[in-house]
Amino acid sequence: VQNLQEIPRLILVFFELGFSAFGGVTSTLPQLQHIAVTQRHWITSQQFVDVYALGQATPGPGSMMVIGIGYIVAGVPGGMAALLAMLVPVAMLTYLVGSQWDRLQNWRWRPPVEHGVIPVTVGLLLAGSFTLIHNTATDWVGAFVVLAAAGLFLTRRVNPVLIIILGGIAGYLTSRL
Amino acid sequence: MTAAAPETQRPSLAQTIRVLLVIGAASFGQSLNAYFQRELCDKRGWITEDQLLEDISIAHVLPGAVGGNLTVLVGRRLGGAPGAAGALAAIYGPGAMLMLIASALYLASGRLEAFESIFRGLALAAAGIAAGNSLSIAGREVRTWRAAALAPLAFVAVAILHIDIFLIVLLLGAFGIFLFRDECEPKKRSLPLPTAAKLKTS
Repeated sequence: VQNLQEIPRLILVFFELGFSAFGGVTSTLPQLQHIAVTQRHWITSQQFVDVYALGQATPGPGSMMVIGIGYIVAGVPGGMAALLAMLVPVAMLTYLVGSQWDRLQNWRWRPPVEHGVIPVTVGLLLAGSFTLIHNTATDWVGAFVVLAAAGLFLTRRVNPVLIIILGGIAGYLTSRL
Repeated sequence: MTAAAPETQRPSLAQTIRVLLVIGAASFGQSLNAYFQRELCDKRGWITEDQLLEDISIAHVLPGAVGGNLTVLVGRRLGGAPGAAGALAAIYGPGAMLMLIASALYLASGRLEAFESIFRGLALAAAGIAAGNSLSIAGREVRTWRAAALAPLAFVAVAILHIDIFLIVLLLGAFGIFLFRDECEPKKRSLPLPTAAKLKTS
């Protein structure tokens, strides 16, 4: 059921969501679920879960599920409106911050800021991978696929796309066992 | 405008879009950082690893999708405003198309079960790639005692204590700046003599 009249509301909701997502869109999932399922009745809670899974299986940054919600509400225009409303206004802010940061190139405190923040970022990256593995590798087969993928990646000889495809095949085969 | 450091070379807008389109189509679940690292830093030298890590931390502090923020910051380094807009379109374009198609198929069939095991395999492989990439970055970047103190603190705060990432970047970032405060460049004055003398004798 396509409902083009909901598009302004979609834009408003995802515009707000973009600016309230700190530390990534994942942090706003409960809020989004409340609005989309309970409050606006855009989608059912099963559809919310399914669209999330679809978004995870789609390449690109991990926020593709908003397209799915927009699509269910108002078709292709709805999907595009949801994505762009979440992305573009925040992107403008990010751009401004990036260029302001650039203007501080010769600031005397710049070296300590750079060197102090990089190890923190490394810790964040490690924590992100840890959480990801913790949530996905819930059995021995899962742990094996993660280890094999990490190992293949670290050899620097295997294209990551191939690793991903192999992962998909492994997932399919192990479900047949 | 000096967006790129002297040791990097800027690609044309067409080159940027071509490379990022491939990354956009290939980077499943959280492997975006790994692709940026390998394709933009290691293979092409368009940005340095330190620049990428700096952008990753800014992307975490700002509101919005972290991957989207990172794409804008990296795109800006590669080609200013057109670079940022082109990068965003290239990184999101392939996935957005696929997601629209997948949503249409999903609405038409109403079920996902058949694909769940494949999705799980994709997510596992992507988690492995992300982990491999973080480990190799950690191996290169954590070389001083100060870095070795900060990185595990951030890891424990996020992964074990589940403290808000925004807060962690602010608080531990401030602590990091404090630890590295001796690298603060001196005010415009020539070096005091004792330092120069000490350097000669050692």
